[in-house]
Amino acid sequence: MQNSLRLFELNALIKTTLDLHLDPGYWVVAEIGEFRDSVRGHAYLDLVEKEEGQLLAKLRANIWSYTYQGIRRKFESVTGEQLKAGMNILCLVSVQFHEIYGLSLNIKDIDPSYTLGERARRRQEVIDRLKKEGLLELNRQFLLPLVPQRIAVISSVTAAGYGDFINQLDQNPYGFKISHKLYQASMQGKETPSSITKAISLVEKDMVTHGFDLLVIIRGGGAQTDMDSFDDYELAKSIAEAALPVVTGIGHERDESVADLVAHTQMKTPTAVAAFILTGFKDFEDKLKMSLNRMERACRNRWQREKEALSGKEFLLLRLFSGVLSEQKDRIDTHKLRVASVAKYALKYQLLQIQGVEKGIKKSVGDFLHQEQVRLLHLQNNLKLSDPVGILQKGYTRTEFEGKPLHRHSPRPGDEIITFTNKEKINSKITRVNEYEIEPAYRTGRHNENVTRGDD
Amino acid sequence: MKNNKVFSYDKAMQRIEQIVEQLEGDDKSIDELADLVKEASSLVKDCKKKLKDTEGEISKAFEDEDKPE
Repeated sequence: MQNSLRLFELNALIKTTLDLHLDPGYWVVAEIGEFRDSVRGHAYLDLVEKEEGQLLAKLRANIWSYTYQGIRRKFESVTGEQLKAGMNILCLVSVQFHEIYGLSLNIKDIDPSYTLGERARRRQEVIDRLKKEGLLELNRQFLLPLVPQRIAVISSVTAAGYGDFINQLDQNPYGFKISHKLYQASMQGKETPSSITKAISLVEKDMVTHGFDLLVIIRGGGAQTDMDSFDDYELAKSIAEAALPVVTGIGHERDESVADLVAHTQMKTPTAVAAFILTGFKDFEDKLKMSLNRMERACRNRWQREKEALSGKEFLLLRLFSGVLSEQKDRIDTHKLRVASVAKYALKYQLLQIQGVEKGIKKSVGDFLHQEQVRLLHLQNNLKLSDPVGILQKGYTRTEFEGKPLHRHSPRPGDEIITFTNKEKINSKITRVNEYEIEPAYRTGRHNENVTRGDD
Repeated sequence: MKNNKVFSYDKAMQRIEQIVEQLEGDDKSIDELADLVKEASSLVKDCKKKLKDTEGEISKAFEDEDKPE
């Protein structure tokens, strides 16, 4: 049987060997793989080393309570952060071997300046990458809206900074109405980058329907130790590529984060962001007022010039027009006189004409009447001459045979005839008929031949 | 114009001339002649009156025209 050792003896041998051959302390660079506080005030860690994601080495470590309090205060005051998993640290360790618990490291000190430099280096790497990819200035290509009236806000509703921001916007002394919509995101802790990135996606999705013209990312009142989240590459990329101009108010006091660098505009605090937005409104309003004043002044000047020009033209027109007017008036007066004169003459002429016509009518009528009177007189005379009474009264007689004048009959002896005087009707019988000629005294007439005077 | 409602001067004149012609024709009896002469004398009176009236009417008509309004 070979010589053998009990396990305890082996572990005691390992411990003695390590104590003999190792120095009391080593400065070691490692990443904190896991980190947890214990109720007794100690800190338990896993220190790891990775290469391209592959684990190369791993060792348990602890910081005893008494040492841990001092290390922690110093670390946080220098770096602004708590010790946590994922951090690279430079620590002073002693190697321990315990018969039961095995190999571990006891951390005696941590150099915070290493972590600070390490973080700066990582941050610079992110910045370089963003620059290389053209993302660093991308969001600044946007023109800030003159008056951002619809704002998407990414923040935590419980954050004090959000409340301040909203109050300042809603109760601004100028009475500007600004619409805002909150997109809830975790603003501290490991989830911060992915949460904000997700919120940015939501904002972009709502952008058309809500008509957002500005994206604000604000955070306030949180621990100053969570700033690493805002140096995250993915978050920076999503801010840079946002479809809206981004204004940050992340509320930190040390140097600016990468999120601030890629944003369009960065302000220190949420209230500063609100003030910035309101300043934009105020500037716009002032410019508007100034423009209005200028416009008014320009209008007034122009109006005055036009008024003067118009007055000049009016005066000129009046002068010209009064000349034309007077000329036309004279013409009208002349025409009036001519018309009156011509009318008067025409009237006189017509009157004369009518008088002539009247005279003519009167004369014609008179002539006609006279002619008719003459005609009547003539007829009357003829009647008188033809009247048998007048003839018989003058002593002439009329002889008829069988009711017809005697001269219409060839009288023969023995014919019985009737002779009319003015007083008698004498019946007689013809005894003898003698032919004889009578000379006409005033006129010839057949009936005269038949009239004989009674005393003949 | 006696009983005639519408007196026609022309017709009266035609009748008078007709009577004169008949008188000149001298183939009527003395009684007929006497009647014709009476009728013609009456028509002559009517025509004279008509002429007088017409003259008066015309003078009056022109007088009205001459009067100022």
